[in-house]
Amino acid sequence: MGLARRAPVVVALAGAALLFPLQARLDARRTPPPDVLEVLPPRAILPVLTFGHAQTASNLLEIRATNFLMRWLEGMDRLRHEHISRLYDAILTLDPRDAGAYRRASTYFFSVADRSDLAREYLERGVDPARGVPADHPERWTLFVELASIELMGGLGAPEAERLERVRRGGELLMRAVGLPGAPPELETFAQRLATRGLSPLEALRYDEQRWLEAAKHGEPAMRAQAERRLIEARAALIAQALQLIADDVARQAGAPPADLDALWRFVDAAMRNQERNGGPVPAPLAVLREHGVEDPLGVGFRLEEGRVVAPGVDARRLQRLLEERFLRWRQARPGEVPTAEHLGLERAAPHLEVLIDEAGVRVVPR
Amino acid sequence: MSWLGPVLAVAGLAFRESARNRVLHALVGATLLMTGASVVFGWVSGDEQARQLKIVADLSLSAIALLGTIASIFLGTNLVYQEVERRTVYTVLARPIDRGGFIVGKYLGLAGVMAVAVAAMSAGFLLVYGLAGGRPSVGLLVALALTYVELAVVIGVAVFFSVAAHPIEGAVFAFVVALAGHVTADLQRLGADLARDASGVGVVVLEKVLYGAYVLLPNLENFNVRPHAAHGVAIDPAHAGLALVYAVVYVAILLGLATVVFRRKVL
Repeated sequence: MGLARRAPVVVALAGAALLFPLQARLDARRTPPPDVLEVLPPRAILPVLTFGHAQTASNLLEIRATNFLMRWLEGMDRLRHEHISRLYDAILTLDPRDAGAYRRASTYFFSVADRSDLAREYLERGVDPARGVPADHPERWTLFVELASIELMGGLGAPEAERLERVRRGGELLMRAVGLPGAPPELETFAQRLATRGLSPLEALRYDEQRWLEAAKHGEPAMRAQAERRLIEARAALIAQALQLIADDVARQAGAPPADLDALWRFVDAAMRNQERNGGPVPAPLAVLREHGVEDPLGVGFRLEEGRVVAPGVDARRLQRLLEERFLRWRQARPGEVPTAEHLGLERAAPHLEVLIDEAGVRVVPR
Repeated sequence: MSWLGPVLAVAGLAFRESARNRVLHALVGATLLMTGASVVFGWVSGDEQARQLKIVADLSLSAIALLGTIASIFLGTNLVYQEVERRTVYTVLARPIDRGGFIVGKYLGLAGVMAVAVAAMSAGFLLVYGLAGGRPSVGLLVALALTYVELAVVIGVAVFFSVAAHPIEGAVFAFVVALAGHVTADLQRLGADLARDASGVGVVVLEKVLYGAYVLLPNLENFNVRPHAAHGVAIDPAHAGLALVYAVVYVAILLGLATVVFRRKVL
């Protein structure tokens, strides 16, 4: 009788103990279900199938997109941008008023995938009140700010005329954000300044650095790590630009550029000491170098080549990111074929970089 | 055998009582309606027949699982509670059957009714699928069978809450458990992610706790091969077999716990 009374407890405990090996075996045999994109119905029918819960479905899909992004963020070369693009199309079809989703999609395509065209496309869809975020939405202004950022960043390294045109366009976009619900009042001053005067290359690089500095505070470790890597690149570009301005100054005064990087650093040291001794306003390039230190503080390996300051390690990383994206698009269009550098839009690599392309992908290595 | 007879008698009574419930009829009707409507959804989604069939399969299998879960919870959480409320439980327990046998009988009765309900819903689905031009595959049949096994676990959860709580509270708890049963893998993933990104004793303990929760909560995803079936992806027979064993073990745990609670209950 005693045994019979205890039987349910014994069954429950033994069963619970049995669950652990059983679940481990099930996990080992589990085959992944088909990809979420394969089970997504066409866009036209998608909102109907959510039975009035389109926003919830949109949120769930965005969780999927974020998970996918977190999973593949480290493997940049194998990122499936198409996957994210289709997910965001579905997300924004279900909830076209979600300003944050337009912003996140654009950030992803601009910062991770280097696809400013797609990033701009999402934002333009978002700012269209007829099919995107309504005119009175408190976050609509942020989409204009993102559009302006894309214009400003796109102008970095471009010829002076194009850069100034982009700065002007960025200013105009910011002006469209001014006065919208939720927009900060100081935006107007900034927008006017941009639209009328424009940023110097050094100021624009400083802006880029600040942007990645903010992104490096992201709560998600993978996003943070990604932003930290991009911050190093942005700082290297900023320091290289500051050094370049000083090298140009030396070349103007001495009639020839510094012989090598050591010579350039000596000029920088001397200029800093002069400035400390004489006082007065600190020139912008010196301010950058004073803030970030001298002698390659980031360890990126600066070099002086024919009067140009280069950072081969960082330049290689940036070029590789760009070419990988093009390589993936090429392979999608022509499976099995290996493109040449020209096919990827690279006429001639910089002398300090070597581009290797094979079946496996693209590798850019510093010489 | 002397133990089994009264249990089957209770099961028979529970079967007849549940089978007469109009809510069950309505839910089976709603599922059949959804299955029919899925043809319209498939039709407006494009001309490609494979795509249309996939939508019919997706929607119908989901409807069977979802509405079946609602039916199991609604009927299961009332099962024992009503007997106690109406005091009919005294006449049953006066017979040669102990409280554990009573719980098992009730469970088997409802599981039997749900087997008939799932069979009716599956027949409706397979008929619609056939009329839409599809040929029912083994995968679809396995998915339907495992959907029923999933419902058998949900019935166990509902019967447990029928003993341990009032019907409305029990239904809410059971529904939450049924929903959570499809996302427990996230608990395990969360623990693994935490352990990867941080270190320390606290994190290790948290990871173990989350893994324990992952294993001990009913993992209804073990039975979810519906996406595989809809896409014609092969289903591992060993997985299906293990899922069946898992269901038997889990139902045994739930009925054991329900018996322990019911024995302590003052009627």
